[in-house]
Amino acid sequence: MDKELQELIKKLLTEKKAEWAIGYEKAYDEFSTRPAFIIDPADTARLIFNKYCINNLGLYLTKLKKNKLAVVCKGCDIATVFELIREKQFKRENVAIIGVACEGVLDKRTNKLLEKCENCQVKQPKGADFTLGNAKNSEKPKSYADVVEFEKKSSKEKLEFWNRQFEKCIRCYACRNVCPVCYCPDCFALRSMPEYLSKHVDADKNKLFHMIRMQHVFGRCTDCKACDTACPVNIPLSMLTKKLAKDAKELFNYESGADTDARPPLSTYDEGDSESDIM
Amino acid sequence: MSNEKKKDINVVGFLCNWCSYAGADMTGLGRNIYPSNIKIIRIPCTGRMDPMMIIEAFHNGADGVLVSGCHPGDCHYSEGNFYWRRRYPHLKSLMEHFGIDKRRFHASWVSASEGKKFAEVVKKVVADVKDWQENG
Repeated sequence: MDKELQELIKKLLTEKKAEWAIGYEKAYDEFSTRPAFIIDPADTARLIFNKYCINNLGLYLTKLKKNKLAVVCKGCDIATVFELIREKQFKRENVAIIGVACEGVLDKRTNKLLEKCENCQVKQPKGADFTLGNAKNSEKPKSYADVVEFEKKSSKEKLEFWNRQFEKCIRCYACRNVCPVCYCPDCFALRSMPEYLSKHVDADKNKLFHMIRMQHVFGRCTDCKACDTACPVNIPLSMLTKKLAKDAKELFNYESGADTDARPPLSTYDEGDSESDIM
Repeated sequence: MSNEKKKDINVVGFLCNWCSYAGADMTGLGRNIYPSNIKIIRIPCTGRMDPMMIIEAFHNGADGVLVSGCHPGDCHYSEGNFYWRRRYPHLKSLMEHFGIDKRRFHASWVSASEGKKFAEVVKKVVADVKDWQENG
């Protein structure tokens, strides 16, 4: 598949269909890959795709201020690109999505398949401009079993669990920096007028940061788990992003990244919305 | 000056300027009695209710939060409370996930003439928070 990928990107670059191409290249050892930014068609030989290509390259689309881009996407990353198009960050015709069939990616720290890849519905990418390779989608639907299990706990247990997790947090903001939908140039966490969040790192403040971040990405998070894999202290952020996806589905029947014309759940309303909980 | 004095329940009430704030006024005019644990903050509309403010209220030690606005369809800005009605269940569910008990976070519709209802709402909120404090 690497050969096909290189040929395709070479063609796109020489025909000027894309100014830059974003893909993966081999990093310092055989278990590591890193994003590669290709401008010169002669450089395309660097590009690869394998089971260690864990990064979500949709992240760089908002960072590179270029007119025409080509981006290599796994099936799950396409949702991110669609979500960014829905947010009008760039136009659909200005980005060439190269979908690659993917049998799941491995976390090189544990050498295990990522949890999100187990019941993957998009091993064969959907909605891409070019599709390379073949893979069979999982027959089982996406499972929220661990979130449902966690929800059964009492609020005291939940509080203790999260306090323990956020004690570890060093507020490196890796989760925010790696998040494709966290592209605000002026993040609330760094703002000093008003200062929502002091720069002091403790469990309480870390929790406040994560609560507000989760609230900001609700209805936009495509549950790509980039934050979860980037976390240096292994905070299970997937427990939160999964909850967001579950809530969007259950409360508003909405799935982010599915439709580029949809209105996100919180910026629209329906006169018939339920109000069971409101006194 | 005893140190054993029990800590009072602190409820932050975000009331919309056009209905609930006037409703709270009406409660006083009607001489309805309600717990004094609620500290009222006036907001222009429930649609302005930034979830960050609620999260911050809890973070800064509020035991409970009440957000109250106009009945759906009565909003001064026509649709502010419809947006709030969508934000509320999501926020409540997320807060619960983070371990903030559902008895601590409430929303209500109180119009400017419903002084009696406002007193009842506050009584219910304070009772719920008390229940959470005593029974965990």
